[in-house]
Amino acid sequence: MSEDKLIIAGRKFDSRLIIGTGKYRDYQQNAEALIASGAGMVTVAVRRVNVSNPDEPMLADFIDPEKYTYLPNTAGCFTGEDAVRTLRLAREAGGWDLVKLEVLSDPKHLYPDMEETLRAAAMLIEDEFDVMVYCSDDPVLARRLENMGCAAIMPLGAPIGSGLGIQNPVNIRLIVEQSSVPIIVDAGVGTASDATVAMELGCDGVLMNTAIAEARDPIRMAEAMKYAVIAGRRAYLAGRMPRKKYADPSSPLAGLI
Amino acid sequence: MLVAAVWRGKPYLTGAKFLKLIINGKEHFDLPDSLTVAGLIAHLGLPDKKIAIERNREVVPKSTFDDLGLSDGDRLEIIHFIGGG
Repeated sequence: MSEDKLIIAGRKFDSRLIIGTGKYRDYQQNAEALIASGAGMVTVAVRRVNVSNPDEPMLADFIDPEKYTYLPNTAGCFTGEDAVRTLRLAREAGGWDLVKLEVLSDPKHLYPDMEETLRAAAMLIEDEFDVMVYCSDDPVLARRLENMGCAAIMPLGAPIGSGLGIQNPVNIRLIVEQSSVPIIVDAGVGTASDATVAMELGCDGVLMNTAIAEARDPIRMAEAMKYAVIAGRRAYLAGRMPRKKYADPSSPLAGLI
Repeated sequence: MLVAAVWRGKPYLTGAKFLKLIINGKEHFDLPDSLTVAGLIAHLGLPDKKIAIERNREVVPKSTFDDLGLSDGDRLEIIHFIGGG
């Protein structure tokens, strides 16, 4: 099992779990949850520095970018141009090309604006970014993103922050089966079993934020997610037994007294 | 540019030259004249390793921070990474 690594754009990760860094009580709690989760990659947002208070706590003081892969996102961007502008700055701040593209639409459901996402993905790939793309769970659009050269396809399991679990396992499975780049369920996980379901469907990884950050005990939930992802992955690799319509006794019927 | 400047909270009229920059959408009138990007970072007390700067919508490479002089009216965005999903 030690060789079963997540590989994205040539980078290897021991953990198939990626966690967000939003919504925690503070960066300290975030850092502790990260350790408990075993994740090697964290999503981060790009925002203006508070020039009037340069001594504000900074994420990098708590989560070492040398030790963990920062995955800058484009949350808050509604056009391709905004996304490219944001990630060009992120690349200069961090010095890496691996990025998460998300172009959102309506705040009520935070569904990706796929037309704009496709346009932004093309612009970023042209600009030599390795693009991990948050997208709808539509296999046709997922294939288009893969053909364009995206490094990972990240369909939502349910609306961002909803914790409703994988709403459309059929689509996720179809995307997994057709793809040759990593498929990572991004958004929708609420509890450990949701992460396991995603991995059992054959996803290469799971990205989550709220499920950990808004758990009553985020550190313990982070640990639960670590094991949930491992369990789901191993079950997928092991291959589940066929579903049967009727019972099949586990103890032999022959030799009864 | 020549302005009535504010220094440490006190307004005064001055013959000294100051640089006007728009940083993260806010006008700053009281910056020392002839500043480089590195000089501005030091002036603002920011950690230079964790930030990136855009000047008039062009990313400023870190390798040019020491040499690139800022001009009156430049629009700067100074960003860093914060928590996000």
